[in-house]
Amino acid sequence: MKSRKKQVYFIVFLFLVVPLTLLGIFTYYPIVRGVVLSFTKYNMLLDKADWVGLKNYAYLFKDKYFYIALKNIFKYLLVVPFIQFFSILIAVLVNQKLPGIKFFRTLFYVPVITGSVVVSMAWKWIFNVDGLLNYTLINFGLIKEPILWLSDSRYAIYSAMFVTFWRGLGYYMVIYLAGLQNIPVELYEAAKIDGANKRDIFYKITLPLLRPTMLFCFIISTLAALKVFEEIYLLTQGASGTTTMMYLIYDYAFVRYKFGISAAASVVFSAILLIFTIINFKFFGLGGAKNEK
Amino acid sequence: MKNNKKKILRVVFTYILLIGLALFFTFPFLWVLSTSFKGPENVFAWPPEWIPKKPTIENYVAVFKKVPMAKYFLNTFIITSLGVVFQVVLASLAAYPLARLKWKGKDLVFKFILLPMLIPMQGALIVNFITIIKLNLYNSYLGVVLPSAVTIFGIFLMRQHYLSVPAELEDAARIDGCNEFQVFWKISFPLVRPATSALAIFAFTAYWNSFLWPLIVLNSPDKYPVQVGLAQLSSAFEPNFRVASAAIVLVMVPILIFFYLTQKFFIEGYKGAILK
Repeated sequence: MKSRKKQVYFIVFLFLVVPLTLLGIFTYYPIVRGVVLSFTKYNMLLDKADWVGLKNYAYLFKDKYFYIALKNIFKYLLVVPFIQFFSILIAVLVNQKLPGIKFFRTLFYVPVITGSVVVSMAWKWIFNVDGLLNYTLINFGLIKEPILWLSDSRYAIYSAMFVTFWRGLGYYMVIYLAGLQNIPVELYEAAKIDGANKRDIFYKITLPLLRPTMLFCFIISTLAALKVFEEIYLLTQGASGTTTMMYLIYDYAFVRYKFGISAAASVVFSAILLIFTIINFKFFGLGGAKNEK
Repeated sequence: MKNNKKKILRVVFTYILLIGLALFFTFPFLWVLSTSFKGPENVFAWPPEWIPKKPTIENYVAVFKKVPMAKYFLNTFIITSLGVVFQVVLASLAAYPLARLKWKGKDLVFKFILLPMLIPMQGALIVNFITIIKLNLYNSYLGVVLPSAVTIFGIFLMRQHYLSVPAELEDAARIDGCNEFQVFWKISFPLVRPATSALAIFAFTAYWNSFLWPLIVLNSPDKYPVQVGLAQLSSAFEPNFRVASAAIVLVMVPILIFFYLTQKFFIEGYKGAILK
């Protein structure tokens, strides 16, 4: 009996030691170290961090790109309601039993699976000055001069937002589809027997029961919108007023090698995300992980 | 009769919507595909030529001549395989004691593991970069893979599946004289094996498409995975989208084949993975 207990603790140790060590190094340690780093001027070659107090934050709050990035991530939140609304519609559409419906589901998921680089580059080719979009609009006489979709600061951020929207629809469609299929069939049957019409069924049964899924999707798409990076990097390189917080963090650290300022931007950004997470939890109860029992 | 007609109309309308959406979701790719077979003369024809009149493979030849495409694929293959093996093995191991064994501190450890899901930590990018340099893993495949070798999602997913293993099976094995390790290896693990393939598929697509971290942690082009190589190509060939298009097609094909073979995990798998 005693040896069995020993075996259990041996397995616990053996199975958890590597995963926990890796999590410790690459997940927990950065939380603490990132904050410390934001108060220092870090020299990578010498691996030396000099304490500079709040200087990095002062620099950040004077940088106009910081405010552009802030404005842009909040603008990006506009994607969330659109993506949720349309992905629910598409999910309802492909939740019917029709020949070939699986083929369509698969097709709608293709932009998700192909990855952000491929998607962004394909769209860059469409949004280009001499791309398909301008070409079509000009030939239909809708515009006279080509529009600089990606380099005119009036349009660039919206072009990127559109790509994010387009790329995300399939992802949320699949989650909503799972949500729809988790609704017990008996409920629909009972409603039909009670004489409910299709509209009543949708508003009184489908939507309320889809609520947990909607909250889940709402939370993840909000966080994803705030954290957008790839589309910006690939479509505009952060130019034409399209920089976002993640792009700024990347740019400070890996283009300009200002690690301390990048860390300060990370701390500020994490605080923003934390506020959003708290709001989500307050309003929607325990979403995300805890939702899954 | 009237009802029947209405029904047919509805189905026709549904298919029109479905086909419209299918075009909406695929036309950028079809346009890229079409561009990749075009010569210099017919890129700007009006109406747009969706099927090139004089198809050519010169753009594909150019991709292989101008960038080490085969090398990029090999790099992606190595990074993806390493990553998938790490994620699946480590999650399968870590989740087992958290789900099936009785030991002191279990709940605490599990809560601790879930904690980062609630704390956003954008600082990880910079700190991990410094850590990787200190570990002498800069510009190495392992440096790309290691920070995401253990994912909380993976542990969570595997734990859910271990939880569904009936305790009677394990107890019976114990009575039959299995030691604790054999209980894991002969009873519990085989029962959750289907979940490992789901996790492997998710991990595969995540590593195949990963971009930001490899971009940061690799600096020599002969280590680049296809996604990073592709992004570099986009700036290198800016005016010539035909060559870039050929490269995009080449990068898309393997993941589309992979998706075609495993699609039921994506479209159906979410039911178990996310909403359980």
